[in-house]
Amino acid sequence: MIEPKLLSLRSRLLGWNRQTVLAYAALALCVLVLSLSVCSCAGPARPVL
Amino acid sequence: VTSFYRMGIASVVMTAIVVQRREKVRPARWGLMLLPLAGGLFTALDHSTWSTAINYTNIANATLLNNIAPLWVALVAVLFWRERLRGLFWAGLALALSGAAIVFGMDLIHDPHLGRGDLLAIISSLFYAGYFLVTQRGRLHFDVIPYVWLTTFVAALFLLGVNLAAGHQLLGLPPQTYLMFLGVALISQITGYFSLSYALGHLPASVVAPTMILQPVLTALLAIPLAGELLSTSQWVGGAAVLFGIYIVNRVRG
Repeated sequence: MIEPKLLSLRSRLLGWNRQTVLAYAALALCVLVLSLSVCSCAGPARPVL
Repeated sequence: VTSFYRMGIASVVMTAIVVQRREKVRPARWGLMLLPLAGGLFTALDHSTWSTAINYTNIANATLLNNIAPLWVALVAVLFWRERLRGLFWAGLALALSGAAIVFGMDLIHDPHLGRGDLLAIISSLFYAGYFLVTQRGRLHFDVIPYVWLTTFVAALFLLGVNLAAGHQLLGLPPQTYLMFLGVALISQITGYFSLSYALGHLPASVVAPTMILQPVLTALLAIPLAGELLSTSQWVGGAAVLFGIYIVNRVRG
């Protein structure tokens, strides 16, 4: 599985634990999803959160 | 209306998930229920005031003023929660907010007059900040799925009341509109709020809120290839300032 390897690499590089890595991944997903949904609606820049 | 359907559809879907997974919703003390209730109320008030604001001001101003929420979050964290935020954190936050002002606030910089819509956008930023703060506390006592379900449900109920009181048309809309509501509920509401609430369970609100300034900036960047929009040189500089400010905040607090 590539996911545990990636998590391990990130943890070692940044000194973060697994939960922090997942929290940042979730935050990145949130930002990306909301940005893409705004673009796809071609609407206001923050109608979605 | 969009906010109500977004919350309403999302809460129906979330109810199915909570029931199917037999999620434990009951907290250690019933008083803790106030946290997701407040989270839902803040969400609904944020949505309703911001949606009203854009009727009276332009979207760029409303976006900028709503995104001062991290400032309120940091102030509450310091003044009420006794968090220690170093000088470098405030420098990073100031840089991110200044960058956002350059990207979205050129109108406001050239004409620094706050109208009704701008004031409403500032009020919505207070509710937006309230959501971050309450969720950071709420996630100490609730798992992410029950927490998101409760906040979404409360927000849907509140927005239903607002729509009924305002006499907005909720039924008889075109089918495409309902499909759009479904998409927004599944993608923006469930995915967006789930991931945000998950992050707030492991990172402080004073880090998550400034990082969320990235969202409108990324939207502006994605609009270049997706919508064929162009950014001015100053907006590129502002976007870079936002990124660097967020980087500083995360390095100091992360």
